Amino acid sequence: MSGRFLFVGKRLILAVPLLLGVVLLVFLLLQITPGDPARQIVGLRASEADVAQVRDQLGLDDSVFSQYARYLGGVVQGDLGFSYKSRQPVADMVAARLPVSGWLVISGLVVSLMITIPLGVWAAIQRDRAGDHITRGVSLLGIAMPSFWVGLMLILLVALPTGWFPVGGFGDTFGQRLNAIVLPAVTLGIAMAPIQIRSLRASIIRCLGSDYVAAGRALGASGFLLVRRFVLRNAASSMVTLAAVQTSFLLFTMVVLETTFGLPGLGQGMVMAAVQRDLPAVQGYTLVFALTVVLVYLLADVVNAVLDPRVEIRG
Amino acid sequence: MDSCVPVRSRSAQICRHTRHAAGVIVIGAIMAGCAGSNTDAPDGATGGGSANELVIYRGEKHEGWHPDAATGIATSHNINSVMEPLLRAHPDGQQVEPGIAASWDYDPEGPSYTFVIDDDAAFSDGTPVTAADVAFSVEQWLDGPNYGEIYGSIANVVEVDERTVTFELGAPDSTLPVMLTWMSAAIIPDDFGGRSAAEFYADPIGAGAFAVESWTPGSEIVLTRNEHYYQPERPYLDRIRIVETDDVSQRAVSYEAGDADIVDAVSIDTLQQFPEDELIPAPEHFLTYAGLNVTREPFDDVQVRRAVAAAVDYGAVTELLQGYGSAPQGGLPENVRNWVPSSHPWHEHDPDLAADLLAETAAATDLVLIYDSSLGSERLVATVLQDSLAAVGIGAELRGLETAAFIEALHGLDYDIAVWQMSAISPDVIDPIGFYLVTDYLFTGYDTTTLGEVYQQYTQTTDEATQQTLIRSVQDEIHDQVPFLPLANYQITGAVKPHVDGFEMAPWGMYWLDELRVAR
Repeated sequence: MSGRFLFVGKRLILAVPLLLGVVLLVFLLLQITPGDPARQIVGLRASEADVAQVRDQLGLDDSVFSQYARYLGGVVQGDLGFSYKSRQPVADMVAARLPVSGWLVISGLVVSLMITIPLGVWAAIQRDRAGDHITRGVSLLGIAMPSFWVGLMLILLVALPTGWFPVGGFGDTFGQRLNAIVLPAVTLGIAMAPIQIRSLRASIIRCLGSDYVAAGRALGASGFLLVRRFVLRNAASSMVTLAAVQTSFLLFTMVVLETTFGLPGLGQGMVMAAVQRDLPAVQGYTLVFALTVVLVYLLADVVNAVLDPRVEIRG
Repeated sequence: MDSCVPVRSRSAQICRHTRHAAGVIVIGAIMAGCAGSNTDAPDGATGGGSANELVIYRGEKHEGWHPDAATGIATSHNINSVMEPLLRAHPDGQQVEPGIAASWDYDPEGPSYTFVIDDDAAFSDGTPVTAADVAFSVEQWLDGPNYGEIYGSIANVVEVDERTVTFELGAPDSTLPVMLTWMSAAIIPDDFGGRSAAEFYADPIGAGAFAVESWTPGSEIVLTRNEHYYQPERPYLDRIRIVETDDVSQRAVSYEAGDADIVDAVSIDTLQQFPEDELIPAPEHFLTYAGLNVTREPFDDVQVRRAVAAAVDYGAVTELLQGYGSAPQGGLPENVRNWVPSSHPWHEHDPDLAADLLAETAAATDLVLIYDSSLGSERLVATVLQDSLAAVGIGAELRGLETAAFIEALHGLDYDIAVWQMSAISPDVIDPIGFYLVTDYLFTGYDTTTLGEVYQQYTQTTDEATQQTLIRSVQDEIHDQVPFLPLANYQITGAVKPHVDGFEMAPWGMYWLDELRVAR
């Protein structure tokens, strides 16, 4: 590993206490939430003795520290425990839902880039002219529209009248999934694009004022050619950072959209586990979300270092 | 000078862009494939099912395949479809029918039941159902902490021959066949088919009409036809997809879009979003009630309980049901075998009488009225109740609790008034009586000594007139002592597309999937 990338190892090491802290926080929050998980497992008709037996089996009467330590011991071995509700391994539940969320996030990012790049570039080139004002106005509108509302509008105005897209579910075959993901991806793209457009516009405007761009102009480059060859790579650096910062927002939007469109992804699983007070499942999903944020931030730093050789990140 | 992006050849850039695009597509394809892709699935499965597939949308989540852990109607329904019990409940809510047991015979003198297993009964892997499987299944029922007690009359199981089995009882029990229609009486392979219990219930097989193709907890269940099902030609469908979604609007919209063929248990607040002629209600049965905590003031005083019974505006509660319900005629869910009303009509809305009764008692203020916040309709009912109480000077604070917290509050009697709902799941009024018995009259803390005696007497006789007299005595006790307030009986309602045939829902909302057909 090159010296410039030594920070990766340091970051990974620093991520461990961060993840431990997140899991502990969720663990403590769930401890103080009312409702006895043992009663949920054993059923309404069971006697108090049966409930007590289940509490004992699950170690729910042990100290919070013991329960936390036991959980962490399992996590280290890849064991996220068993769901209180479905009695399935949480790791299996997460694995089953992960591809759906991944499918949504990747297609949403593609859509957002398809919106962001042309509009961001156009707004920068059209700086302070009508095109710029219109783009910025539309971006502002996009920021103001909640994603669940956009999703519902797409269902009501596109899916229902045309019948081209399902209003919910993920389907079985590749074709069905591609079809099912279109509207959620467009919604996610619309949710993410406005801030990206404004960021890209600002970066491009900054780059356009640089000496090297002036040199490009002197060589005869102009318009989109100038932007593509001399500006975009440098401007992309801030986009990558922004994308990382948007990860939390992306995960939140994913939760909302999976519920709106009935997609069986991690977000929907998280909501269901929280509603059912399925502690091991909530912990499992939270761990995955936290890990995702940590890895995305790390990835963004790596990409930035690749994009700009001057970048030196200290762990 | 700032570093500059090297100007590369156009072909190299195109190549790079193509690689990126291809990378995205490949990642997408891999992810779609990873998500349990089923290439055998019929085309159009995302929509409302293809030629012989059916899509059902519902709000209630499947809780798992362990029969003893099932508490909801939906879970019971799913388990019955895969691990069918010995006997079947007829949708009319009155009769027990043959099922895996083609016939049965009760000997009250023995006392014992002898069951003859259908010659064609087989598990979905093709293995015939034998007496040994039934005997093993009974062991599992009895071990269940939740439902084991209701099979407590079975003292011994004798395997008479390969297809005949006798349950020797410790005491006469004329109602055992009713309990054998429950999901908790699932028939499973002897010794879990050579697997551990955990392995088996993670991926169960049974002798029901369908086998489990997949289950994504909280999202979807896919069932496929059991080719070895004992009923000729059934099931009529090759595949059933059950989509679970909390969002009531999404269920309605999916139905409108044709993605769903059936929405079962349509939420009251979305009834108007469905075509009226496609709504099929079950007979009135579900009981919405308000439990009164009789273990503490003010409801330890029967005078206060009667006052509250007179204070409730039953008409306003019924109005919430939009024509799919009626005012209660007693404290037991209706339209099941042997249901009879109490000797007197249920208390009427009479605020003046309520005020008079309250004037003779200690003041009832600052009460806590809890409800399960996951059920949207119950907040409405709780609000009506709160208004009714306020009209006679009783102040009650509404507290919507998440289901687990609500159930804990019920068990801990940590409330004054609790709004909830209940139903039977089998065709005999002894079913709710049993529930009242194990829950101290719906978690009110009311003494169940008399009810326990009634239960015993009911199960020991086969005479319907005697049984109905006993039920009337229970109704009368509820009427006079008011441990809880029956607020309304409502009809659970399913939305069913015209191309679906064979949908007949029992009063408690379950229907047999093997009877459904589609004609697109």
